Amino acid sequence: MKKAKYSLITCTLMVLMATACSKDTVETSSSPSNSIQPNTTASSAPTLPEEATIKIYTENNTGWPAKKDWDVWKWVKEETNITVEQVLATGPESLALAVSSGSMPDILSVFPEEVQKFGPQGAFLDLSKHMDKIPNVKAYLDSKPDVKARVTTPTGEILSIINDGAGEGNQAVWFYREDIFKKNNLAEPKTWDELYTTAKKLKQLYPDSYPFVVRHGLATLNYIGPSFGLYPELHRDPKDPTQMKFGLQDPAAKTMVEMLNKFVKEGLMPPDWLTMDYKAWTQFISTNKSFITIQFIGQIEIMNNQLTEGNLKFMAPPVGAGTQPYLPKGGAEIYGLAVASTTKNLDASLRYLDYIFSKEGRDIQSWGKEGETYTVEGGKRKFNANYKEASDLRVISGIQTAGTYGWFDFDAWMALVKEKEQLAYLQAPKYRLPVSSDLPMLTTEEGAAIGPANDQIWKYWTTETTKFIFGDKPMSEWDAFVKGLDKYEVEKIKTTYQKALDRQIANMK
Amino acid sequence: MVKRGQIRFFDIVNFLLLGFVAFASLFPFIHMASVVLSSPEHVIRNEVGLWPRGLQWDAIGAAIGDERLWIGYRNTLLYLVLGCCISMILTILGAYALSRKSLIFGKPVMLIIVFTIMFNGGMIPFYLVMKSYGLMDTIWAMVLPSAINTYNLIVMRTFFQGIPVEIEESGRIDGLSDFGLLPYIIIPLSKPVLMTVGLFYAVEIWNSFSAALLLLRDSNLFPLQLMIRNLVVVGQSGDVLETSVASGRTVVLESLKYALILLGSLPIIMVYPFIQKHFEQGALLGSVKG
Amino acid sequence: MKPTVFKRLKRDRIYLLLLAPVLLYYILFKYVPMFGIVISFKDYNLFKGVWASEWVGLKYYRWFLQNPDAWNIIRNTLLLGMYRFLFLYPTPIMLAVLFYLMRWKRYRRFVQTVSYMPFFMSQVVISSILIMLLSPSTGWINQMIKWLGVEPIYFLQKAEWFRTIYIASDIWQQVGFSTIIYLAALASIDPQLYEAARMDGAGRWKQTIHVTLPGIVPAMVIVFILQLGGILELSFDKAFLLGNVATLETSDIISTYVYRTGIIGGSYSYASAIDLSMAVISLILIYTANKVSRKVGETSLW
Repeated sequence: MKKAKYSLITCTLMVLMATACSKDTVETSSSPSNSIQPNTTASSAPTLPEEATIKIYTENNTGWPAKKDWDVWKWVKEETNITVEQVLATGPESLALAVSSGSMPDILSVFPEEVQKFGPQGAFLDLSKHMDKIPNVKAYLDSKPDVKARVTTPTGEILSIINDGAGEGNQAVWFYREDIFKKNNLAEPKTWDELYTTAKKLKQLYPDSYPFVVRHGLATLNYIGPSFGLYPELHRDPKDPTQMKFGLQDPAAKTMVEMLNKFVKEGLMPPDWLTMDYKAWTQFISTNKSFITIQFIGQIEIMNNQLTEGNLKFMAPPVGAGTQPYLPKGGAEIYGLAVASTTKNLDASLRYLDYIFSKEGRDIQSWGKEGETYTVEGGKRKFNANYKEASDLRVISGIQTAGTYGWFDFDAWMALVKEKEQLAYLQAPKYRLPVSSDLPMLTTEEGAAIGPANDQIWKYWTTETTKFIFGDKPMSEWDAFVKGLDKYEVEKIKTTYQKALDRQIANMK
Repeated sequence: MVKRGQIRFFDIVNFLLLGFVAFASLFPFIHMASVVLSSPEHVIRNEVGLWPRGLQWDAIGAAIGDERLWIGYRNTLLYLVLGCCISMILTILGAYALSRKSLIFGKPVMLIIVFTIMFNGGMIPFYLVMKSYGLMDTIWAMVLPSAINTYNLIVMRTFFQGIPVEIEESGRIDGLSDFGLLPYIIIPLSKPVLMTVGLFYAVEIWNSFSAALLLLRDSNLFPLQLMIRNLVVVGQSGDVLETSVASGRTVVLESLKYALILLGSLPIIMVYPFIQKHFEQGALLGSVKG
Repeated sequence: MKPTVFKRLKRDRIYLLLLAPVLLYYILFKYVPMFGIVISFKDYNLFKGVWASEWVGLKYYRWFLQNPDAWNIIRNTLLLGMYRFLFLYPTPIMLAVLFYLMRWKRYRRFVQTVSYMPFFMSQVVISSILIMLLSPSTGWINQMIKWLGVEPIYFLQKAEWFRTIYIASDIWQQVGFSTIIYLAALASIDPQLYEAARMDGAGRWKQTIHVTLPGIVPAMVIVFILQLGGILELSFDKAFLLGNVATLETSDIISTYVYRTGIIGGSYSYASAIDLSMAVISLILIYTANKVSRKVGETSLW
């Protein structure tokens, strides 16, 4: 599960990187003499705070290898007089090693699981005690109560701040082959029943095909679940976000599993979708074997670039239960920044945090500086020609890479995304389920108390649900399966998280 | 040794069986090589089997053009030479001493050694101890902690024990001391096992990256396998089809990955045929008689 | 009469001198880090360090054993390990003998060289090729099955196939490499023994049975004992990559379980407790095997 989360994050980043494409509006930036001056003089004129050097620990992504001379670090130096040394993770255990060695870098980019693991051990600084020194961070948190709730520990500490603004690629969406649909006079399915009939028709037209294909195995339930108003496991109830709910106990879950079973039985989905990897998924999409899918948003463009004919287009999620079409609540980032409790550069570290959350800092770390990275034309910012696609922001300047920003301005990224591909990004937010599948934070004791039960119930529901979907068990036994959840202490787990949720809600007030 | 002209049927069966082994072993490499040399559209549609389609050299070119690969080669070669020397010396000394059946404390020492196969303190304590020895970011981090492989030590000891006592006795009569027996009798008689254990160490060092993950931070010291892992790991964690490489071009990730894996394993594979010579029957003939 | 300890020390002084650096290595690099075992009896706090962490006694051992799934997981691990041993132990010996009996030397060398190659492929690559080959919709193996007129089998989703696939891919990857030690043993056989056998009129089969096999027995025994001790060391990568939620019944082994529950607080202590329990089982296995082999044959570890 941990790995799944990591890969999801990386996946998101990759997707974001890959969503980029060359923007055709290329203009020459060889005569910027008049635009450079105002900005540089303005920023160097005020008295800078005292000089400092801090170390920031981040991932090392081979897609955008970290460089010492990235512009983002130069801007930090210009604005705050802080020299940043980037310390790169070398493996999955790097953070654990850093914590155990007693010499942590000053600032660390961390996943919530890591905060939950090492936070209670005392590795990270409680930022809530230093809010007076980081007014911009405080203002940011006050403006985003849900983020504040996510980062506040059960004991009221704030041990990390989750990054914000660049999570748009972290959104699973439905898309389909527009050309095939048009050719055969098929309409976008609005409901799961329509999805089924449409897939049937496609199967008749193309007997060799598997019209609907997915790539994430059983985890796909997390992405199609929302169209039935649920996530498969424990989550907040979308109808009443103050209550916890175990998705599979919802009657709509039965409908969902029944549907999938029908799709498998009638060959509308590949028989091996449970074990299909990205390679197999790519093959199905690029060889016209599948026409409807649910995947991360950036894949639309990646696959469009591979199709020799035809094109893929965003589709509203089909309604499975209720009246509203829903996608999972994506768009959030899943990792953030923490300050080491052992730091010897406390002031500088806090100053850095405050800078990246300040209005100017946010703007500079997202867009760069006028004349250096972009020009303003007709009131609109335009990146220089050397940034051909959005991922160039990362490769060339380090913009939107781990540790270099706190609150990203996603418009900067979108400025380099092809207009045709912007549709999905504009549409997707309209369909998000009101709640995400994130769980409220538990105390270490609570976590330990339900740990084994959590694993057992996971094993139970995944094994059984797979049997129902693939027809190894008749749907008539579904109710018995749902009852069986009780044997695995589903109530105990639910109550534990309910308590955590109540606490979180109380903390927010 | 083997007479001609017997059991024809068995020979045919044997020929076919070994043929199957050869095919099964070569198959993934031929497939990988084909993927490396095929054009992107065929790779993405998964149309490449055992023959390249739409021949092109971009992936292999991109792999060769990445200087990190060559830094990795250089480092691994250094670790290989240094590591094999240290490992072989220590293993030979240990195996020789422990091959004496009557050695005092021989049994408890063997127990102490075998014990370490099963019990270890875990990753983090290991890291902390190595750090306290000052091994972080030094070439010794890649050589010392894994200097003796207990399995290899035991194998070598077993072979040493198999050397007939009479030969040793004749050596002693010729005036060799306990120490002198090693270079003049034991080592010359043990070429096959020395080659084998040497190969095992070479392969182990060649393939290792976990020590580097823990103990190296400086990318100029990274061994080849760690470089390769870093270069391809991006494809294991996210859904990407293509990746841009050092030269700024984009290549299909799968082709690049396979190209790196092939480049990263071919040199050590090439070593084997040279060692094989020593496995031929009768290689020891002269020395035994002499 | 047995010589006194002092006399034996004096007699063996050269050997002990040669052994000294080896022992030093084991102390510095194996025994000093072994203090880490104590974390299985503590609530290991990485930040505070091993010594400052709180003692919790057998808490994590109890945790493991009280988990109703524990027995299933241990059973899966033992079964997979035992089947793996049953197949992975004899196949290299058989292959070595086949090599030895191959008359056409160049063919033999060629097969030897290529059979050693799969050892150098990562688990990730092997698994991804296997998944590709076994797919019921596009895999070659199932297309072959279909061509024979049989319904395609979804190998990866059937719990009863998991062990077969796991072990087959292990053999595929390791058999050639594991043969090397026997080839070395074969090359170490004194050629005079063959001559003597021939003079006694022994044919090829008789020579194989009376000279070749006895010649590699010590290597076989040692590998047997060591592999038996390693029976519980199953590759996490392979189980993780080839297993899935449909096959948990057979594919959930200790390493995948530890990995999954690693998110629980105190995971290093928990993982270490499970590791230590497994090490004790391995020790018992190796100890028994050694005892038996010492009684039956001449070769033993100690």
